[in-house]
Amino acid sequence: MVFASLYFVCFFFIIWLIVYSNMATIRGKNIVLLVFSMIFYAWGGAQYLVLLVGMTFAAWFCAREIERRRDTALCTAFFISGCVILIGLLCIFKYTGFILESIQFVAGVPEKIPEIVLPIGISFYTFQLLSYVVDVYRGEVEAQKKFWMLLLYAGLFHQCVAGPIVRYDTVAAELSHRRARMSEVAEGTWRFAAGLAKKAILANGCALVADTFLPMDGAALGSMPVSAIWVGILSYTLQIYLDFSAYSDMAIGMGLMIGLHYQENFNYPYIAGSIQEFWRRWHISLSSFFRDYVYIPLGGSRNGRIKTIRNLFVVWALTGLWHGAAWNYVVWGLYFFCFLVIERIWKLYHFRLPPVLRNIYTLLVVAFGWVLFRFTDFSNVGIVVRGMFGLNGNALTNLETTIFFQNHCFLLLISVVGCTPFVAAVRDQFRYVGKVWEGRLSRILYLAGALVPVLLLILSVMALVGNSYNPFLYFQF
Amino acid sequence: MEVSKKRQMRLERQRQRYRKYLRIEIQVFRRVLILLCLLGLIIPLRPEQSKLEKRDLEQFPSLSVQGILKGNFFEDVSTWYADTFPFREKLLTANAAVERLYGLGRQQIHGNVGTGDEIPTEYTEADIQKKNKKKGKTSDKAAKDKDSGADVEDTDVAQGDEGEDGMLHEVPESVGTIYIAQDRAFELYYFALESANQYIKMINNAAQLLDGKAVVYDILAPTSIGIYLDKDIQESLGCSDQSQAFDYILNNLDSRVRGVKVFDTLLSHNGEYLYFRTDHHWTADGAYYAYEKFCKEKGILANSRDDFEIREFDDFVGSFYSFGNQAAVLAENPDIITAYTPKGTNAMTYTDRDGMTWEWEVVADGSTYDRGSKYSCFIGGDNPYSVIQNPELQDGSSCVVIKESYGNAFVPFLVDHYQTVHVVDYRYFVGNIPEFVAQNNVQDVIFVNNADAISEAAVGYMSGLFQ
Repeated sequence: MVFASLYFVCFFFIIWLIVYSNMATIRGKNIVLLVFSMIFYAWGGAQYLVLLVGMTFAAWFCAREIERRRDTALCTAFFISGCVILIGLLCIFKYTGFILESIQFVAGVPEKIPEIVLPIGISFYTFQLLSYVVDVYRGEVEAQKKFWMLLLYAGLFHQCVAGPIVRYDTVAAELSHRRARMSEVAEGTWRFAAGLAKKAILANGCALVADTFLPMDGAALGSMPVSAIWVGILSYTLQIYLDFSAYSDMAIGMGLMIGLHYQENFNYPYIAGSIQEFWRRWHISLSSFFRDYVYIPLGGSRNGRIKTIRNLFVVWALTGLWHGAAWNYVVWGLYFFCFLVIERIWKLYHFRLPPVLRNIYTLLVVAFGWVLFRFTDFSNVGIVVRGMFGLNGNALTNLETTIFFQNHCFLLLISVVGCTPFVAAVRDQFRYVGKVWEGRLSRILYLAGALVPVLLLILSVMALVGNSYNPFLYFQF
Repeated sequence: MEVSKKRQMRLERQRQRYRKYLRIEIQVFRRVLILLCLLGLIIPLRPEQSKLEKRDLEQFPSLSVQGILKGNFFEDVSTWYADTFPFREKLLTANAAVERLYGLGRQQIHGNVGTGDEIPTEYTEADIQKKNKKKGKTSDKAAKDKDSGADVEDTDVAQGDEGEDGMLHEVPESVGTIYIAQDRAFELYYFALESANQYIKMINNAAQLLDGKAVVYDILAPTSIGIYLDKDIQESLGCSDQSQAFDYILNNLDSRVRGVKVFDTLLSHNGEYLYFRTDHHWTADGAYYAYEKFCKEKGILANSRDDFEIREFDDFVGSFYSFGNQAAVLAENPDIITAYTPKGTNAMTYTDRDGMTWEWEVVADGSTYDRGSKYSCFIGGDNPYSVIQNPELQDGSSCVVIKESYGNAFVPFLVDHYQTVHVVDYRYFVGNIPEFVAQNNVQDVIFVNNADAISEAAVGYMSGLFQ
């Protein structure tokens, strides 16, 4: 089930909210949350539920044993076996085909590659469980006594299938004691509605433009005029942020509605002034996972330049690989590694671009990164690069491109604005007005602002009607 | 002391008011969502067909263990839920209105722009040989297309049922990419060499089989883009030149075939209302010029338009509207249908796709049809077989018109020239034309095909009538 679907919004979500709100005790609320989460997960195929429950059980069991056998050799043994089980299953389900294909490419064997369907959300919940086992081993959190509570943490439908990757210690306390403050419920409603509209209206609209101008088919791609390629890259850049951050917005919003506080996952990445800053603002829960569980354990940047570069290399190869089991994702990760190294060298020589140029440089690097991200087939990347500079023998523009651009120019403009803190700033002003001002005008202004979530909901429902084909970009990860 | 107390009271009041606002914000959102949820649960409100898109909507999936384990069942439920949401068409229309705000929208394109094949100026035997070799496969494919076409027919039958209450639905002949400029829509035209060669072969084969029994006429109707859209714009959209395409076909027809090229005539009259703006068909006036040209070719005198009883049906918004994402400019500028009722008779009989026979009218009262179906006022829309007997003539003259829907507006003009006019829609008719011609003592076999009907699927159907 995807969040931005009529079925989820108009049926699953609201029924869950009603049932949940009518539970008197926290235990009752948690049971409702767990039952709905399991139904949500089973929606994508009941067979994968077994895997989720099994992996959670392994993590729960190992963590409990780690805590019980603290300071014995078995403690480490349980820690290692927990990690091996979790990472092993992730590899089997996600990377078997990729590894075998790569071997086949080099050695010619095996002849037949088994087709393994990727269980929904496995990349996300495996990382959540991993962080839990490691944190327990490090003694940073207490192991969860109750298995079903850990299942609730790992399988919670808010973030189970598409993030953010919530750390156990972030929500451990709130799982058993939480209170939803009214201001946060309102904030959550806003986030949910904004996320829904971001996906259903803006991201899907941008996707249409991107798919038209950056078709997957090489021949069609090669006939695109220069302007189409550039507009296509812009649209795809907008789409991928709006799409993914919308999912996090909805997850964070649903959490706030019931008093769970998830970590922010995006902080306006496209206003960043460097690649390093971009990655501090983009998919924060993933980059901090790799920082805390890979980069720092490897020694971080404290063991000399060579080791720092090695550590960065490992982190970015893994980051790439996490996004998809194909070489283009690895290249995409290492592409960022290169720029991060370059930026470190710049720093050594105190090289600094003026602020505006810094942002333009970042955007260009990131946008081109998305081209690597989009095309699994490297020859298509070549076509795009040539197309960007008019080397495919096509015109600068054509009528179709012009018309299509004209018909979507305001959509793209709004999408660009949607990537900046502007909307949130305006909303905060409304909040302020409603809080502090006196008089009729302020009331009207505030009430108008309060109706925005409903307006966004209705617009989104309209956009989703008849748009049953609505794939979520990050679903396969 | 007093001041601080006042201040505190004011702060408390503000806090209370703010909480009230928050409650409104939350409750309005939830209540609307609950309403939507309840609305979605009222199953009888869910539509089963889309008039706008002319298709059957998703059905509730059947339950299976496999489907539940793999997730397809639930996926299908979600699709069904969204596809049949109550008031779907109204919501779609509202959404289309929102989407118009996405950009400037002076011109629009719906669908993909491509390029046509180059149109050869000559037709060489070598070409045919080469094509024929390749053809082996394609005709298989065409046959398969026909099979799948049969499926389409089945689903169409369900829609055809509506015909009984006067709500006739036009089966659109694969409306392709639509280009909208000002208040007029066009379908982009791309020449396909292989289909054209196949078409030539089919017509020549027909002439061969009917040699000495009946005369084959081939009327090639341009679509509106060739007549109304500036040539430079056509070119910039990668479109092919319809005039050249027709020349290519006509020049390569067997000498026994009487080709009727109406392109130049229509072009010279393009100040008139020859094509609908919101629909992919020609108007009866467009068809009239084709009829005039046909009469010239046959050597008979065409009736003047003033001789007919003229009827007008306004508020027609056709296929371009639903396939062009409901462009407002089209809905706001509906077409008017002018129909010329034949002098001899207005009575006809047709057989529908279920094999049922109906008494009907050659030109029916389109004003009672719904907005999108008014073109069906001509000969009852697309039916496998129709026949018109003219009581004014007793000379045994008869013709068979092999057509897609472009023929519908054309047929009424023929009524006054034949004792019997048989009409065959090649997409639905099951039978053999040479046998039909022999049995019914037909003298003229008249093909009426529009430029977009020179396609692999359509030619496949037509070839089937001669096998």
